Amino acid sequence: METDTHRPNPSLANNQSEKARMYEETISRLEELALKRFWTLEPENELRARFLVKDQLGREVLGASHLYAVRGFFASLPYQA
Amino acid sequence: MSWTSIFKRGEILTPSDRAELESLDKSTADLRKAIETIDREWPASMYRLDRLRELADQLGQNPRDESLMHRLTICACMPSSVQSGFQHRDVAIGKLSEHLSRKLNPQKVVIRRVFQRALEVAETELKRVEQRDKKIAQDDGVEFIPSGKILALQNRILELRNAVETYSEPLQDPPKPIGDWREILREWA
Repeated sequence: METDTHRPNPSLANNQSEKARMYEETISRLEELALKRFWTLEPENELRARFLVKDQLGREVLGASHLYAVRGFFASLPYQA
Repeated sequence: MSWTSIFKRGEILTPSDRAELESLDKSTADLRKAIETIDREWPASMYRLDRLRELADQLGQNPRDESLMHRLTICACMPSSVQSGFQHRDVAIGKLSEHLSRKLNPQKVVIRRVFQRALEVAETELKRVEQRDKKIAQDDGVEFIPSGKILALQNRILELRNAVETYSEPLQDPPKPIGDWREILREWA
C-alpha cells in the first residue's frame, strides 16, 4: 500500500509470473547452447528444478544440476560457434 | 565413408577462389622476399663481434667480394648490447609483416567462403544420413541411435562452424596475420 511515508519498491514485488518467464527464458537459452553441440537439456523430473545434459548417444554429460550450475558448465567449455 | 566422397574435389575450393588466393600471394611476393632477406641476412647482435671478425677475415682473403662487404657493413651497424640482441630484427620484420597482413587481408573473405561451402555440404549430408537412418530404424521398429558416420559428421560440423567464425571476425587495423592459405585449406588445396 502506498502512503505518504511508504512507497513499495517495485523490484522487490513478489512478481511470480515475471520470475517464471525468466526461468523459462534461461532454460531455452541453455537448450540452444546444448543444441549447438548436438546435445540435449532434459529435466530430471516433472518439477523442472534440475536438468541433465545428454549427448547424441544419450550419455550424461552433466548430471542433474540446477540451472545456475548448467550455465556454469557451458561457460567452462571451450567456445563453440 | 571418406571425406573425399563428401567434399568433392574442386567443389569446396573452386578454381576461381584458388586463382584469387594465388593472385593475392603473387601481389605480395616483394614483401615476402624482403622479410625473408632480413630474416636470413640480419644477424642477431649477440655474436656481432665474432661475426665481424669472421667476415673481415673472409674479406681479407677475397677483397673484391661485394656481398661480403655488404654483410660486413650490416654487421658493423648492429646494436651492440646483448639485451637488444633481437630487437632490430623484430622491429623491422614486424612492421613489414604488418603491411603484408594488411595486403593479404582479403584472403580471409575467400577462406571463410570456402569453409562456409564445406559447412553447407556437411550439414546437407548430415541431414540426409540422419533422415535415412531414422527411416530405417522406424521400419525395423527399433530405437534410432546415431551411427559413427553421423557422429563424425557432427564433429566435423562443429569444427567447420568454428573455422567460419574465426575468419568472419570484423576487419581490424592492423589485421591479425593469417598463415599460408594452403596450410589452412590443406584438405582441399
